[in-house]
Amino acid sequence: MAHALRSVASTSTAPAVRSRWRGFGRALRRNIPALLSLVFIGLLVVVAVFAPLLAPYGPSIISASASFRAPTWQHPFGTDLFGRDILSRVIYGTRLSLLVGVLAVAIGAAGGTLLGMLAGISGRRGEQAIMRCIDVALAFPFILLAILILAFFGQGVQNVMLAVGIAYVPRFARITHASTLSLREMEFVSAARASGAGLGRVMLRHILPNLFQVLTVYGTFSIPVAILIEAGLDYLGLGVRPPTPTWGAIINEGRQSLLMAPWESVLPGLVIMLAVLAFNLFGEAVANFLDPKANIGLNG
Amino acid sequence: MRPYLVRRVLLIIPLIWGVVTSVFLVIHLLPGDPAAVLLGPFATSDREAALRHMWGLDQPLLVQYALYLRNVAAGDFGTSFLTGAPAAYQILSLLPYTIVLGVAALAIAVGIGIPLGVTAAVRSETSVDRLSLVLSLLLVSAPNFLVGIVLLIVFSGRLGLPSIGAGTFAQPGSIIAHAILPAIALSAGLLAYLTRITRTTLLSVLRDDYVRTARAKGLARSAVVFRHALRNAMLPVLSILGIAVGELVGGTVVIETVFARPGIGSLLVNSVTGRDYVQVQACVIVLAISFVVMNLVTDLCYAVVDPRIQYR
Repeated sequence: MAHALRSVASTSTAPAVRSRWRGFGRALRRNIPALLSLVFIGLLVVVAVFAPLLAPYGPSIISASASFRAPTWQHPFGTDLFGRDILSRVIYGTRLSLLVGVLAVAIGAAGGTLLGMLAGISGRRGEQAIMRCIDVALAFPFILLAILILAFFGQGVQNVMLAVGIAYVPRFARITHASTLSLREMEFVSAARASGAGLGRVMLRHILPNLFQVLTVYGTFSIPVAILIEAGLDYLGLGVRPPTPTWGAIINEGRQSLLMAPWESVLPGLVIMLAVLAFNLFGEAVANFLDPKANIGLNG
Repeated sequence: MRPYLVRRVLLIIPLIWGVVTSVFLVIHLLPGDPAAVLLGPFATSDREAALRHMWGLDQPLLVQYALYLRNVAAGDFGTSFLTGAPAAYQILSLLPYTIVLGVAALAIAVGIGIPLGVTAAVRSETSVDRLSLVLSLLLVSAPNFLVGIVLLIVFSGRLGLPSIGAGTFAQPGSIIAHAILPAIALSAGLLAYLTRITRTTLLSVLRDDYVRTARAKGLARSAVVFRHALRNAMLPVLSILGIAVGELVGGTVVIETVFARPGIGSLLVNSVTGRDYVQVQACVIVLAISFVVMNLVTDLCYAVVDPRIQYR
C-alpha cells in the first residue's frame, strides 16, 4: 500500500518539477541582468574547471626579468613582484575562491539545517538549549566568528572553508528553525507522528523537503557573501597559505606595492566584484521566482 | 514599555556570559598548545611546562574557567604574549580610533543612504532612481577592501590626502582628516543597503491609504513624505540597521588593515598573525560585546519609536 502510494507520488511530482524549471527559465528570459549573471557564473565555472587549459602561464612561474609589468597583451592583468602572471593567478584563484564559497555555504546549510530542524521538533528543553547557543554564536559579527575559528585552526584552504562554513551554521539554523516551527503545526507532520514515524524520519521525509525553498533562496544569497568573507580573510593574510592563489590572497600580495603596481590589487578586486554582483542578481531572480514576498530590496 | 526595556537590557547579561564562555571554550578545546606554539619547535619541554604553569594552563579546565571568568569580570584579560602589556590596556588605548572610524562610517551611511533612498522612492522609475540602483548594486557587491584600495590609490596616491595611520588626538584636525577615506570605505556596503531598504519601504508606505488621504486633504507632497510616510518607513530601516551595524564592527577589522590604522580590528589581525592568543580573545570579546550592545541600542530605539511595542 505504502509502496503504491509512493509510486503514484513520484510519477506526479516529476512533471511538476520539470514545469517548475521551465517556469524559472521563462522568468529568467524576461530578466536580462539575471540572465547575463547566469552566463557570467557559467563562465566562471568553466574557467575554474579548465584553469590549466585556459591560463596563459602557470600560477607560480617566477620570472625575475618580468617583475611588476603593467597590463599588456602579453600579460593582460600585469605581473607581480616575482614576475608571475596575474591573470593566470586569477584564473587558478577562481577555482579555489568559487569552491570555498560554495562548499562553505554547503557546510553551513547542512549543519544549520540539522540544528534548526532538531530545535524545531525536539521538546521545549532541547529547543531552548540549541537556540540559546545559536543566539550566542550570532552575537559575533560574521567575519569575527570566522577569524576566531581560523585563529585556532591555523591557515589553509580547508580551514578557511570550515571557518566560513561554521560561521554560517547559526545563520542557517535560525532560518530553518523558524520554518520548522510553522511546518510542525501542519497536519501532514502530525499525521506522520501519529502513524508512528520517529523523529529522524519526520525530519528527513517530511520537514526537510519543505525547507527546500527557503534553503535555496538563502543559500543563493549566501554564496556571494561567503566569497566576500573568504576574500576578506585571505586579504588579511589569515586564510590560505602563500603562494596559494585565491582572489583575496592575490590582492594581499599586492598590498606592499599598491601605489607602484595597482593592477595587482585592483583587477582581481574587480573580478571579485563582478562575481559577487552576478551571484546577487541571479539570487534576486531565484528569490523572486520562488518567493516573491521575500524580496530583500536590492531590486526594489 | 518599561518591563520590555528592562527585560531586553537584562537579556544581554547571559548573552555576554555566553560570548565569554564560547571564546574560552574555542581557545581551550581546539587543537594547538599556546606554549608550544609561542616557543617554537625547538623549545625544551621544561620551558613549555614552565610557560603553561605561568599561564595556569596546567590547572583543571574548570579551575581555569572560574579564574578566567573572575578576571574578565574585573576587566583583566591577561597579559599579551607579544608585548608583555595587559591586553585590556592595549584595547583601551586603541578603542578611541576604532570608535572614531565606526561613528564616522555610520554617519556617512545614514547621512547619504537614507536621503538617497528617499529621493529614489519619491522619484521612482526616473534616472535618479536607476542611478541609485546601479550605485547600490555595485557598492553591495564590492569587497570593502577594494573600495579602500581604490580610494587609497586615487586620493592618497594622486591627491596626497592623509590616509595611512590615524593622526593624534592632540590635533583633532588630523584625526578627522585621517578618518575620511577609511570611513567612506567602511560605510560603502551599509550605505548601499540603507539606500535600497529606505527606497523599498518608503515606496510601499507611499501606496498606503492614509498617505492618499493626506494628499487628498490637500497637504503638500513634502509634508506627506516627511511627516507621514517617512516615519513609518523608518521602522524596518531601524530594525535592519541593528544587524547591519554588526557588519560595520566586522568591517573595521578589514578597513583598519587596509589603511594601516591603529585600532581594535588591526590589533586583532596582528594578534592572530602573531599567535597572541590572550590578545585575540580580548579583542574578540570586546568587539562581540560592542556588537551586542549596539544591537540592544537599536532595539531600544525601535521600542521608543514604535508605540505598538509596549503592548507585546
